Amino acid sequence: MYAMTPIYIPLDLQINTLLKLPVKSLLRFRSVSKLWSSIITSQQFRNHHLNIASSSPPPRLLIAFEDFYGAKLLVVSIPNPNVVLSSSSSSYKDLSLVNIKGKIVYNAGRGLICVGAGFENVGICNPSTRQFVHAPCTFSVGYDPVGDQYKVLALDDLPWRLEHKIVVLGGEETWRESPCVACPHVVCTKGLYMNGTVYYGAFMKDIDSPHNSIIVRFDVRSETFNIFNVPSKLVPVGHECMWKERGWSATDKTLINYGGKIGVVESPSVCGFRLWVVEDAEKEEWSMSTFHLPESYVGVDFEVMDTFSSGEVCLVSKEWSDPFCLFYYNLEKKSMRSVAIEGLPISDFKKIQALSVTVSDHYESLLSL
Amino acid sequence: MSKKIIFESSEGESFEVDEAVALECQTIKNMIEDDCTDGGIPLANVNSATLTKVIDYCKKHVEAAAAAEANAGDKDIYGANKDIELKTWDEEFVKVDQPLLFDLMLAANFLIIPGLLDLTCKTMMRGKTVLQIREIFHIKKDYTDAEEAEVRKENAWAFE
Repeated sequence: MYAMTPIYIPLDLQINTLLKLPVKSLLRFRSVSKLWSSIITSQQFRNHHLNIASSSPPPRLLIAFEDFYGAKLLVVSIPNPNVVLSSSSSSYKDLSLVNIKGKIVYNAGRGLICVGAGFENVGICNPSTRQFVHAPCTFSVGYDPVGDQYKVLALDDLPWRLEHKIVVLGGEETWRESPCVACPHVVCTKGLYMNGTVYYGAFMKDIDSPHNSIIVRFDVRSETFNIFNVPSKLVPVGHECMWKERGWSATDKTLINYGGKIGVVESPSVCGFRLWVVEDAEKEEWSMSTFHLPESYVGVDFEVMDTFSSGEVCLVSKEWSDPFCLFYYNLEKKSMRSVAIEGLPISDFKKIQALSVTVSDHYESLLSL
Repeated sequence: MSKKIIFESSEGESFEVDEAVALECQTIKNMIEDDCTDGGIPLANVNSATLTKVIDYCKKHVEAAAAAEANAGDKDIYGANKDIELKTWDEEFVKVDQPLLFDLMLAANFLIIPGLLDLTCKTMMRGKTVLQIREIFHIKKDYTDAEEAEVRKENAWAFE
């Protein structure tokens, strides 16, 4: 009986169905018809699709393996392990691996990543559509939710130059100078995109006082910089600056989105690790707490990742295991759990000299670059 | 005794359900709030087989929500084991033939049951080829072969 009376799905229900699909399926279904293709590529559909994904937490994870000397990046997008591992299988069916030319992933913002590679091949990549656009320099990508525009912020971290430039993605071709009027500063951390704002840790250039650590807040819409000071009592003993241990060594601090507030997590040592939270930026109110890893993990050389959901700090051991493991430290229960991610070419990685990894929150975006 | 709501399928068959179960449907919830459910709710575009399944779905989800609330104390942060059980149940629930899946999707859309709509839509599309999608949705190919090849080429990797 059914075969004789075909059931027609109204267009609004067709669109509703499409909105629930991953980007890869949508790109495939552009071939269904001209109508479907124009729906899928429309700006309205794209925004609606991303809003649905970002309003149903937790976000996906984007894991980037950075081969610095080989100038190769392997970017993997996976569903958040907090969701997937609750189902029976622990391997990821929709593990999506993308190879990109580049050395470092500077930041991830609303579906896009900023890729750096020294002086060449830097650019912006949408790992969900596998598109890449070149840019002369990048630092961080942010999104202006009011103007519905992505902007790329480029910072020259050569201390004698300190240039800030901005370009609108898909808009004007030329970079605009956007000097930080408040004060010249040197960037120390990667950028963290959160609610229309890009944050990063820095120190002020012209102030010789040891306590010159700041957090810079870049408002993507108005293109203005704000700085807030790190109170000196919060700077760890023996550190000249909040971000660096001594001299020019890389920072051991990671910025996280602590439920809409800025959190700073330091890499765990034998003595545990500290978490700072900016409670009120205007009043320079910060809170600080110290945590200790469970005994069996003390001594493991961990790095802090910038994904943070459901009250857990995500750690990666510098000694990689196969399968690759993410460690989650629960701030409330003070307990640790590990999540194995199968299907990654870890044995290939072991041959690589300088390989590092970043793990960020990620939402799939249909944005065409 | 909880209040009962009576649904009437397209075949005229009556189904009596607890109000709590009926409230899972946003459309019915509005009708209950407007106090216009006396004498039963005729669902002219939902047949008995589909309605039976829809009621099963709503019952299960009401029970699961009640159980989750009762165990709220010892729930872990990533949503407790109850979620796994419910997810598995959902997966089994949509293992039906395509016409019924279609009917369930249309019913979920009409009655506004977001969870069921999500579930049926995703199941409908999972692992489908472009040809299968055209068949399911009765979409005529309006691309020329060359145009279709061009669109495919743009996103060749998505077909891997």
